[in-house]
Amino acid sequence: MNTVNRIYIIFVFFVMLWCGGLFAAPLLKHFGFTTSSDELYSFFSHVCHQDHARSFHLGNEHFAVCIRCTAIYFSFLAGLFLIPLFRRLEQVSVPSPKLLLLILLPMVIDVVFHDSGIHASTTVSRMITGMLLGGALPWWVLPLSIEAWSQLISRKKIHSQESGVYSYVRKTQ
Amino acid sequence: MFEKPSKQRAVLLGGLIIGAVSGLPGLNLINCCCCAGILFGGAMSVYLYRQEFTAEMPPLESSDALILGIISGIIGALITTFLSAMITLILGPVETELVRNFMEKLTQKLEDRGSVPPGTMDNLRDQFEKAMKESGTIGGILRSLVYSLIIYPIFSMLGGLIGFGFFGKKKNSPVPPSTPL
Repeated sequence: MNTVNRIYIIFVFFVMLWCGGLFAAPLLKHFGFTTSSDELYSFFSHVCHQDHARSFHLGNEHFAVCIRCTAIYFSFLAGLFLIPLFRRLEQVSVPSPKLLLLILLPMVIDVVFHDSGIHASTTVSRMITGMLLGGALPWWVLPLSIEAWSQLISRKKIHSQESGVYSYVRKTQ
Repeated sequence: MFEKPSKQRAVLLGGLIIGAVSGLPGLNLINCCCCAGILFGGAMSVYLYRQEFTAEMPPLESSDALILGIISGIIGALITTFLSAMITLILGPVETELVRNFMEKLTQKLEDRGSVPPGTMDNLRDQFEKAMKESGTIGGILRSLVYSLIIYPIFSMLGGLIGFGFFGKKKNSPVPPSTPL
């Protein structure tokens, strides 16, 4: 297995672990593991407001993050699975940053309009805007992550005798 | 041969941005939106680092953005924890009361408008009281530090990579030769 595939698998593994945590918190609570469940809720409270009314529920317990965040993370994971079907993982080009701003816009509008009372955001609007962003992000993040980690893995430390300084150069195959 | 500039200044400033956004009460609500403040700090460290490049230097690479993001996130996590602990220790009850009042007014306003379902206030109050109780203890601070040291570098790294996508290469910089992966 080459470096790119290894990086891809590790990346997907960590995102799956993250998404699994969102499920695990209510599931653990449901089965009576309250301490572990509380730890998971506490962990994810750093990234989300965790409002019960704005979250999906598993039984009587809410997910570790809200609907919008859940949509972002799970569509991010889906995006990671879909990318290899459309392009080679070695390809490092990313779409225009303006496109990312355009994709972010519906979510910003949904949040701002909701908080200013112009329109009330719904479960569907939160899900759609979250899925749009989450599904789009891997097209920027994955190629750059693969490129970056490949660069880090393929470099070696060298010591200059003249200046006494350590620096890194790219290993050649 | 020209070398790349030092990352020290960029990571410190990026970490400071993350620390300020995440550690100050009220401002830290930005992070409720998928750690937007942390992503922003990571992206800013890449932007600031790119400003230090001259045409003669080797170009900024995505691995630089990755390192900048991770280190900014670690510094940001340390600053946030320190700032939060200091604010809790110094302002303790005053801060609690201020934030509680602010939250109650805001949620009441949203409830009146119908933006949030009735009962949300009680829910938020419970969460707030629980968080305030935990934040004052050594165990609570340490736990928050451990969680921050996991979460902040991840999101800051993503912010750094997105930032690289935005401000990556300077227009006058030469195109780097492609390297075998």
